[in-house]
Amino acid sequence: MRLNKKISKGIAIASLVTISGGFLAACGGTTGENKDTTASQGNQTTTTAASASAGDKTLRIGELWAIDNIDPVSDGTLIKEKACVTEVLCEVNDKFELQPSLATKWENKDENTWVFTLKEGVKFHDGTDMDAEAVAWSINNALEKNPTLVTSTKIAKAEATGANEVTITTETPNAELPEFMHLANMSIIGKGTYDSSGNLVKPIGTGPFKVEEFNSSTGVLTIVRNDDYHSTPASLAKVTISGMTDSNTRAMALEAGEIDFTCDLPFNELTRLDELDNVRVEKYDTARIYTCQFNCKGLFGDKKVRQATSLAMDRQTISDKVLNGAGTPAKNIFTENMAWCDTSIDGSKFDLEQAKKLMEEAGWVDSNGDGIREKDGQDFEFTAITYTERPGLPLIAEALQSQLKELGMKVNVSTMDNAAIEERKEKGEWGIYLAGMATAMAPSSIYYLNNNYSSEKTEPIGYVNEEFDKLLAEGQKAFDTETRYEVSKKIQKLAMEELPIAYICNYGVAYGFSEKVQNFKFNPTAHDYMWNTDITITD
Amino acid sequence: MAQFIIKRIIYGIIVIIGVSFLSFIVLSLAPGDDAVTILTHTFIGFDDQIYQQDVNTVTNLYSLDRPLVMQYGSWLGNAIKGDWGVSYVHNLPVWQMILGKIPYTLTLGITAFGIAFVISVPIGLYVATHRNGVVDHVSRIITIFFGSIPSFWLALVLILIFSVKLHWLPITGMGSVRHVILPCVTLMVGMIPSTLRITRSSMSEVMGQDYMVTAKSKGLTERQSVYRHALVNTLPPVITMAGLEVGHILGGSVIVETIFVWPGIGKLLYDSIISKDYPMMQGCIVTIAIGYIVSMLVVDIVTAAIDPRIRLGGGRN
Amino acid sequence: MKKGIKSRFFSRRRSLFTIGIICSVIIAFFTIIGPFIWNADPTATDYANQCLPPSGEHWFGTDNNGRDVFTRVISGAHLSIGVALAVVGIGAAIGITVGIVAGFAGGAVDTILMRIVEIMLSFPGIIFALAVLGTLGNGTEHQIIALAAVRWAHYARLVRIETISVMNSEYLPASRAIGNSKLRIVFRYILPNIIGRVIVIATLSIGPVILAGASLSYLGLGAQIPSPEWGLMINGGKEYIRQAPWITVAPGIAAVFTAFSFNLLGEGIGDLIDPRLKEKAEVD
Repeated sequence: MRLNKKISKGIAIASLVTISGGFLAACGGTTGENKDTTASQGNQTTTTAASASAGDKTLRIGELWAIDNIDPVSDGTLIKEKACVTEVLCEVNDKFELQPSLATKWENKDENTWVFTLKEGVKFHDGTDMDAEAVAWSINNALEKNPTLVTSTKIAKAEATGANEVTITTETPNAELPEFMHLANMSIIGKGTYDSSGNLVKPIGTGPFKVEEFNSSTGVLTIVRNDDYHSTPASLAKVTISGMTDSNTRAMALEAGEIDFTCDLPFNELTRLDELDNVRVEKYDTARIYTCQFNCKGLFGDKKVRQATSLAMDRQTISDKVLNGAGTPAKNIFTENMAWCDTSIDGSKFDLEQAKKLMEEAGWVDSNGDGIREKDGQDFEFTAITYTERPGLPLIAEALQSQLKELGMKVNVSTMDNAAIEERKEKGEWGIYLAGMATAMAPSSIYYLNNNYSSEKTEPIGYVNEEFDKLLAEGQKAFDTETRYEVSKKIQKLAMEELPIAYICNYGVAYGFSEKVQNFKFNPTAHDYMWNTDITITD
Repeated sequence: MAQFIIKRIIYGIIVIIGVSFLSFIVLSLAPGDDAVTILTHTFIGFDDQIYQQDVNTVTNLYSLDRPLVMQYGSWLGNAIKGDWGVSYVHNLPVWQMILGKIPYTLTLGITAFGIAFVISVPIGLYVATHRNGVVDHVSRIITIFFGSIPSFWLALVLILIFSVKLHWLPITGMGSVRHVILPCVTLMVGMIPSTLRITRSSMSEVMGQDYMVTAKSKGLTERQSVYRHALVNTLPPVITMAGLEVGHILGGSVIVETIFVWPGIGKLLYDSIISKDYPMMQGCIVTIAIGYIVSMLVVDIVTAAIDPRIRLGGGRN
Repeated sequence: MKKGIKSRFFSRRRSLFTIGIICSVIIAFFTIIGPFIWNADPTATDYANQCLPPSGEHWFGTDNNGRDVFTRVISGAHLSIGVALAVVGIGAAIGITVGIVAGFAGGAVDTILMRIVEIMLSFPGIIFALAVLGTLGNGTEHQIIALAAVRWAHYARLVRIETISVMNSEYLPASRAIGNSKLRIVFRYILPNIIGRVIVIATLSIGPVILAGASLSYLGLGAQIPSPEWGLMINGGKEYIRQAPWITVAPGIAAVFTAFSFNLLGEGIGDLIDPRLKEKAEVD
C-alpha cells in the first residue's frame, strides 16, 4: 500500500533527468544511450534477452518508485501487484467483484467470525505447504508488523481450525472482511520471509514469480518464473524491476529501449512518445480520483455555493489540456466499471451560467465591479491547498484558479506537505483542498464512503448530515453484497447532491510499452500497474 | 603541534554538535505531526484515510511525544554510538542510507573541483602577476558572468543544447564518463569564479608584500621573484580555498544532483526535505557539516605545518 | 568631448560601475514601468494558446497554460528583486547589530556569537535555507526569512572585524576619555567606518541572493504557483523543454541578466570605494 501514495512523486519533485541504477560500473561495449540504466543488472538482462528463445524472455520494468524496501507487509503493492510474488485470499475481477484465489470459499458464521477454506496443494516458493496454520501465521504477522491493518480490517486474530480452514475473528463486525483480504499488504507469505529475529530475508509467496535477487544499492528487484506455480505458469522467464523515480527518465529509458514497460509518463510527452515507432502508449482510468473538498465552515457552508463551484469546473478542459488525456471528467465518485457505481449520476456538467445564477441566489454578487463577488462586504476569496506528490494536483489547482475566477472567486493556491495540510485544515485556514483519493483501496462499496461522509469524518470540515450516518450504518451491517451495493448507490446520490466533496477527474494512468510487449491486459484494480502472466515479448 | 591539532579537533566537535542542535531546533519548529508523515509513508498510502487511532499507534511506536530536549538528548546519545535513527520514509537506518550516497557525491564533486582547480589556479596566478591586463579584465568579466548563472538553469540549458538538440550526451544513466559530463560542467561553472578570484587576490596580496619588493630590489627579475617567493606564500590561502571548496562538496551539489537525479547526498537531503523525513534531514545536515569541519581541520593542519605563525597565532579563529 | 566622457565613465576604475548602472536602469525600467505597459494578467490561463513559439504577439512565446511568457517575466522581476532587497536589508541589519555587539562586548559574548556565526557559515548557504524552508513551509515571506537567516552571518563576521579594528585604533581611547558614551561611539566612529564596506558587500550579494531565491523556488520551496517567479517558471517549463524551450530559457535569461547587472554594480562600487577591501572580503 505504501507505494500507492507515491505515484509520481518523482515528476513533481523537480528534476528532469536521471538514473537510478548502477554506478560507473562495468558497461563496456554498450553505448551510453542504449545501455541499461542499471549497469550490471542491465548487462545481464540484455544478454539474456538476446540469446533466449520464445517463452523464455525477460521483461524490464521501469518502476516509478525507488525500491528500497521489499517488505511484503508494508510494500505489498510492489511485491503482489508489480512483482506477482505473493497472492491474496480473495481476488477481484475487473468489475471489482470478489473471486476465489488462495481461498476457494468463505462464509461468515456470525457477525464477527469468518471461515475461509483454502485452495489445496499450494506450495510456497521455499517448498513449504500453504496450509491453514501458515495462512493464520501470515495474517497475524501482517497485523502485528503493520498496525494500520487492524484499523482497516478490524481483525482481532486468525487461527487454523482445520487443515485447510482458517477462522478469522473481528473486533467489531466488518461485513466486507473478504474485500479487505484483497489488500496487498494482507498477502499470504511464508514464514521463511523473515529470519528468526524477525528481519526480512526475502518475500516468500505463492505467486507465479519468485524473488531471485534484490540489490538494495541499485534498487533493482529481479524475479524469475515459479515453475511449480499452482495455476498456469507465466510465459516470461524473468522480470527486472528498476526504480526510476523521475517520469522523464522513464520516458527516455523507454524511448532508448532500456526498459520494456513503464507507467506514469509525463503528461506532455504522451503524444510524442506514442508517435515513436518502438513505443506504444495506452491510457486508462484507475481507481483513483482527483477530489475537491470544501471548507463548509467557511465560504462553502452554503450548498448552492458548492454546487456553483462544481458547475464552474470545466472538467473536459482539465482532462484534455491539463492532464493531456491521462484522466477523464469525473461523473461520480466511482468509475463505471465498479459493480456498485450508480451510472445514472453525472456530476461533470459544466454550466457557467447556471453556476453564476446559483451564486447570485446564495447572495454573492459583484457589486463593486472588480470581478470578485462580495456578500456583506466580504470578498469571495479563499486558499486552495494541495500537495505535489500527485503531479496533476498543482496543475489542476492552477486551472481551477483561472476557471473559478470566471465565476467571480479569487483563489490563492498553496502547496504543502501532508502533515502541514492536516494542521492547516484544523485551523480552518482554507477554502478548498485538492487531493487524490483511492476509491477502491479495498474493493469495497462502503469503505471509501464511510471514510469521507460519516459525521465523524466530515465534522472537521464543517459538514454534518445524519442521513449519511444512517445509510452508512445500514451499509456496514449489510452482509449481503447486493443490498450493500444498493445502499452504496443511495449514498452516492446523496453525496453528489450535497457535494461536501466535488469530484474533478478520474485519475488516469499512462502506460508505456516497447512494441515488443504483447498481450498486456489492463487490470483496473491495480494501484499503479499489474501485469498478467500471459504477457509475452516478441523479437 | 599536537596541542594545536587537539584544540582544533575539540573545536570541530563543538561546531558539529552546535550544527546538530541548531538543525534539530529548526526542524522541531515544523508544523504538522511527524506521526502523520510516518504513517503516510511507511504504513498506508497517500490516498488513504488517516485515522487518529493509527496516528496514536505511530506516535507511541516512534516515541514522538517526548519533550524536545529528551528527543535531542537521545538522538545525540545514539548518534555518537553510530545510530542516526530510522528514516520516516524509507524505514531504513539513516546512517546506512547516507553512507551509500556519499561516494556518488564525492565522485561528482571531486571531479568537478579538480577540473575547476586546474583551470582557474594557473589563470588566477597569471592575472595576479599581470594585473589590469587584457586577460585580467576578460577573466574578471567572465567570472562575474559565471557567478550570475543559476546552476539549475545552466543545467537545463546544457541539457537542451547537448542532449535534446544535438544528441551528443545522454541525460539518463550513470554508467560511463559521458554521463558525468553535464552535471560536472554545471558544478564546475559554479566553482570557477570563487577559485579564480581567491587565487588572484591572494597572489596579488603576496605580490605587494615587503619581501617581494626586497626581492626585486635585490635584482631578481619579476619571474624569478614570483617563482622563488610568491608561489610558496600563495600556498596557504590557495590550500584554504581548496579545503573550503572540498568541504562544500557534500552540500554543494544539492541542485545539480536534484536536476540530474544523481543519487548523492544532496538529492537525498532534498528528497528528505520534500517528504519531511526529519531524521534523514538531520543526518544529511550533520554529515555535510562533518565533511566541512574535517576538511577545515585538514586545511588548518596543513597550513600550520607550512607556516608556523598560524599555529602560534591559534589558527584562523 | 568624446574623450572626456570616455575617461569620466569608462576609466578602468569606473567601467564596471558604469555598465552596472546602465544595466540597472534597464532593469528598473522593466520592473517599475513594465507592468504598466504590459499589463495583462500574468496568471490568466488560455488553453487555446498553449506553448506558442515566440512571435510578434508573444515576444517570448506562451507557456503550457497559454500565458504570455514575456508578461510573466516582467512581473516576476518585482518578486525576485523585491525578495533580494528584503533579504539583503534584513540580513545586513541583523549582521551589523550582531557584529558590533560581538566586537564591542568582546569576551564570552563575542565567543558565543562568533561560534554561532561559524556554525552558520559551515553550511553552503542553500542547505540552511532549504532546512528552514522545509520547516516553515512554502511562501515568499518564508523564503525571505530563510535567506536572511543565512545572510546575516556574513555581515556579522565582517562588521565584527571592522569594529575590533576601530576599537583598537588610536583615536578611540581618546574619544572614550573625553566621555563619549558607548552608543555614541558606535554611531560616531564605528558605523561610519564600516558603512562603505557593508554597502559593497550588500550590493555584491544582491545577485547571488536573486539566484538563491530562484533556486529555492525552482526546487519548489518558495514562491507558489501560479506566481510568475522566475525559478518557479523554469521549474514549470522544464517538462516542456523539448516542445517549448522558451518557457525555460526566457526567465533564466532574465535572472542571469539581473544578477549579472547587480554583480557588475557591486564590483563597480567596490572598485570606487576600496578595491583592496573587496578582495579581502572575497578571501574571507
